[in-house]
Amino acid sequence: MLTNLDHLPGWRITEHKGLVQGSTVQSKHIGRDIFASLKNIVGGELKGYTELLEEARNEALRRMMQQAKDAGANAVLNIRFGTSTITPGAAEILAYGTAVVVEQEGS
Amino acid sequence: MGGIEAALYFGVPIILIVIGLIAGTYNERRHYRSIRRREEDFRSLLIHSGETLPEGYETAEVKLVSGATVIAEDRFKALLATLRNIFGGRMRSYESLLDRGRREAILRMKESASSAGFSVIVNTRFETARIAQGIEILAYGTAARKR
Repeated sequence: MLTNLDHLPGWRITEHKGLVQGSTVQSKHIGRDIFASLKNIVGGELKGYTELLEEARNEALRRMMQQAKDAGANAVLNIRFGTSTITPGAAEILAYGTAVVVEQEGS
Repeated sequence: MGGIEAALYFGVPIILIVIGLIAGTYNERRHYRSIRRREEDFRSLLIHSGETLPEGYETAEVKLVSGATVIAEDRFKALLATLRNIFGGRMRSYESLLDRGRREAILRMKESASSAGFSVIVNTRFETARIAQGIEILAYGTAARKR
């Protein structure tokens, strides 16, 4: 289970597995870039980039979840995202959180 | 510089700025209409910036939900910003751009939560990043169902 809360309501944390993280470095391709330059004249949403970053963020989350699974956790709490442009053509998408083992209260 | 060259040199940027002004203003109005309509549709899905899940919500399954958009300024807004940079002060042209982007991101987050049957989002957070030619705005939070 994934959450950006620092606890799970109704669940008890039984074990901490430490920080887990996943990241991707995504570059845009030239076709999208040309389209984006044209779109820059009239403004508005750059749909190609929105989709690109969406995919990249999902991949980062998947990698983070894999790390959590490998550590034997069943939930990741306090998830945060970061996006930064590292070279003019590429952006790094980062997802990180705390892996924990939780069990439902009253079980 | 010949007459034709001069006309191209100064004319093309001016034409692009005029196209930016007309198309950009039209796009902005249309986008605001769409935002207001969808905000009305999703009024009942509450979002909180606090961490506390209100009473009466199912805790057996919560989910991380997010919505994002990459928006770009038009040539006219970019020109206004360049001029504004000389004197300083509020950049109105970018204020409305970011306002649209953030509300769009919230709406997409609400849409993804609502389509999975969730009825509240807590701990909503925002991120803004400049990427390539656009500005990325991300909204994310934790969604829960009504009990």
